[in-house]
Order: sequence, then C-alpha cells, then structure tokens
Amino acid sequence: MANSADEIPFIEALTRHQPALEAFCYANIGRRGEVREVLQAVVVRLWEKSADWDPKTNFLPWAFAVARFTVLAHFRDQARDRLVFDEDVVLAMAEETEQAAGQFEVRREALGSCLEKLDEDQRRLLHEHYIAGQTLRELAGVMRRSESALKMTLLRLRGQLRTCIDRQLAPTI
Amino acid sequence: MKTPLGKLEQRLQELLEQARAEDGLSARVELNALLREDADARRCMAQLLVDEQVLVSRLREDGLVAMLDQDSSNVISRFPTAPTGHQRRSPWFSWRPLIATAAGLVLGLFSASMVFGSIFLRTQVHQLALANPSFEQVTGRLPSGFPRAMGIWSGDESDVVADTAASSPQAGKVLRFVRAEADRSNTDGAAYACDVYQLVDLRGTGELTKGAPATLELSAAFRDGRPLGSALNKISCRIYVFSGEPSRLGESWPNALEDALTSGMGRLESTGGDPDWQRVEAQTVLPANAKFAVVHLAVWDSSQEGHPAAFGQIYANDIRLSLRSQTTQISPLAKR
Repeated sequence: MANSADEIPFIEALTRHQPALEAFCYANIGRRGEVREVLQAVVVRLWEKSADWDPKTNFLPWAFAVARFTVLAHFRDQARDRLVFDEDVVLAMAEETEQAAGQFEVRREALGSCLEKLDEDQRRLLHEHYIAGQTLRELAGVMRRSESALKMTLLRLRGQLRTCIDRQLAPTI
Repeated sequence: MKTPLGKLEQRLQELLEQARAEDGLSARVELNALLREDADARRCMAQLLVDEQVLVSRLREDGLVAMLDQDSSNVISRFPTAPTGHQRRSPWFSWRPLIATAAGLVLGLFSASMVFGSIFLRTQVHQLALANPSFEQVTGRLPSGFPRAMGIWSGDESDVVADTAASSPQAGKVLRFVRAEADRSNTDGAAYACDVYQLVDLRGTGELTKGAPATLELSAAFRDGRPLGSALNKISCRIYVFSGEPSRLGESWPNALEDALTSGMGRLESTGGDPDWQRVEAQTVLPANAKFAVVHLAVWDSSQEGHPAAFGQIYANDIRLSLRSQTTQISPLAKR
C-alpha cells in the first residue's frame, strides 16, 4: 500500500474480523495450541497481500481465501501425527468452515445473553476449562466429580448454548 | 445442530478429543473417514469448532470486563483451586468511561494482534528486574520452601546445574527441576508438582504506567531432556499479582492464591524427545493497587503414577518479566 491513509480500511477490517479469522484457523486445525501461531502467519500474509483487497468488497471471503493457503502450508510443515484433520478433509470442509466462521460475530453477539442465563458455577466451569486451560481430569479432582460426569456436563452446556444461539438467530415470524 | 446433544455431535466431539491425544491415531482415522463421507458431519464439525471459539472469545472478553468494572455485580464465583489465567474482582480501575476501550486494548494483548500494537496504540515495554533470571549467580540446591523475601528463587527440590544443551538461550547455568514436594499447608498431600518461586516487588511500576492500562508478561525457556515417549509432563510459568505484604504469604501458600488480584499462566505439555528450548509465556493485567508478584515455574507429572514425582531432566532458563503499558492516546480508528 502506498501510504498509511490507504491502509486504514484494511487495518480496520482486519482488526474487526480477526476473531473470525482465529475461529477459521481453529476450525481448520482442530487443536488449540497451534492456533495463535497460524493466526499470526495468516495476519502477516494478509498484510503482505493487503494491496490485493478492494475495500469496496467484503473482507472476510477474501481473507478466508488467503488464510486457507496459509493453513494448508502449516499442514504440510507439520508431522502427520500432529494433525487432527487430513488435508483432503480440510479441503472438503472448506465451504462449511467458511460459512460457520463467517457467522462468528453474530453468534458471538447472541452468546452474550445466552451466557447470562447460566448460573455462576456453570460459567466458572466454562471459564476454567476453556480460558484457564484446566483439563477435565484436573477439574474433576477439584470438584470431586468423575471425569465422565464433568465431560457430560460440558457437552450439555455447549449444546444448551448452541440451542440458545440458534433460537436467537432464527428468523421471527 | 437442531438437537443440542445429537448423537452425531456427541460422536464428533468424542472423536475430536480422542484424535487430539498422543495415542489418538485410530480416532483420527475414524474422524477423518466420517468427515469424508458425511456432509452433515462436516457441517456439524465446522460449527462445533467455530462455536467453541465463539465461546472462548466471549468468555475471554467477559472475564476482562468483569475484572475491569469494579462495580460489576456479575463477577463469577471461584472453584477452590489456584487461579490460572482468570481474575477476581479488584478495585483497581476507576476510570469507568474507558472500561470498554481498555478491555479492547487488553484483549488485543491476549490475541495475536500485536502486529497492530505499534499502529494503533502507544505501547511502552519496560523490562522488570528479576533476580538471577538466568540462574548465573546461584549454585547448587535452591533454598527449600516458598520464598521469604523478594529476589530469591526457592521452592521444591531443584538445583542449578551447568547447561549441556547446545541450543541454550543463555549459556551457562540452568535450573533443574528435581522432585515434587507436598505443600507446606498440606504435608500429607500427594506431591506431583515441582514448584519454584520468586517474589517480585511491583511498587515502582506506577511510575512507569502513569495510571494507563498495563499488563505483566512473563516468559521462560524450558527444555525437556527426557527421551521421546516419556510420561506426560505439564510445564508452566505463572504469574500472580498481590496487594498487601508478602512476608506471610508462604505460611498459607497455596491457599493464599485466593487473594491474588490477577494471574496468568502459560504452559506446554511434553513427553520428551525435543532437545530444543521452548519458550512459554504468561500474561496478566497489572492492577493499580498491585504491590508484588509471585513468579512461579512448575513441572507437573500428569501420569500421577507415583509420588513424590521425580523429574531431573527438565530445565528452565532465561526468565523474563516485562511490563507493557498502553497510553490512552488511542487513534480514532481504534475508538470505533
């Protein structure tokens, strides 16, 4: 890009959509530990190719296309046993992944009020597992519950939240 | 995803968890085969993963806003465990009109958006003084127990030895984790973790931040010298921020963690076989009323096959602590 004024729409779009790009990376990789590394590579690649983006067009479809190549390059750099998904599966899931990640922001917005419906312990459980990184085994020890019971609780909570989000986003008659 | 606990969704979730495990080859094969054959499974899998990230993003932000908003009545309760990456309510930020903005800035630090930090934000980074960050001035066995004063490495059985790895980030000496010890407040308890601590005085940091939102960033290099296929160990660096006096903290550790204002953790899992040093980072918000921090390096034996857990081939070196502050001069773009 020629100068900083030209960069502003790109920076603005990238800043706004970075969480969706992170979700896109995660959905392709399936493993949390490597997401930041891949996202950083995606951001750098997008920056390098920023001149190719027309600010009059939607940012995310363009960004997903660029990101996909970076993700695939990551796949080729990794030992096969470190990968959750095979490369052909990632390509087969491409459309579904883009569609889901494209809805990131509206689903995130809807989730806000869904989380408010949970009680404090449920929210804390989600926080400890997904943010603090405590494993089910660790949490089960602390909470004096079986690992399988805790796993089921988390599954139910996730399902409950997903239903709540879907209900909020369903078109009203 | 019409059914919250649909069989397909549950099956995919189970396969995904198994596929992530070290011995998850058969689950990986089954998961990939299912995704190849079934369009519903692909749709479900993509939505599951994106929704998990939606949840993580929302929890991350809600936790920070709750912590920043001192009047929030929506602060969530705690499990009786060490705080790892979450914060309790803290009356440190009275600049309410900037709460949302500050949360955004802090979130930026936790995400991988650092490439924009120098564009939108006036960021200042100060290295904070840690005593013996590379263990050069220490010899032999570290003092036992929780440190009683600032600037001393001490903890469970561990010693400082000459580094034999060619790729050491700092040539010379390294810290070696030797053996887990039970907490002083629970000497009969099982010992699976080898913990090493240092107390750091934060009283001068107010001069550096000038009241602006700030974070502490801890980073440590670790090396697992065991052969590949060894028992799974979790290796972590953590930072806890406290107000008050540190002198009595050791008596009630780790229960005193309940009093931490904020905390952050970074960790890696290792089964050995990697001769290189790996850097682990932890971040936490620095409240205005912070007086001191506890830097905590640890190795935890996940197998829990015997205790006290013995280590002996896991090393730490080149510990760094920095303070990153953001001035409130935010560009119009970032205010949107």
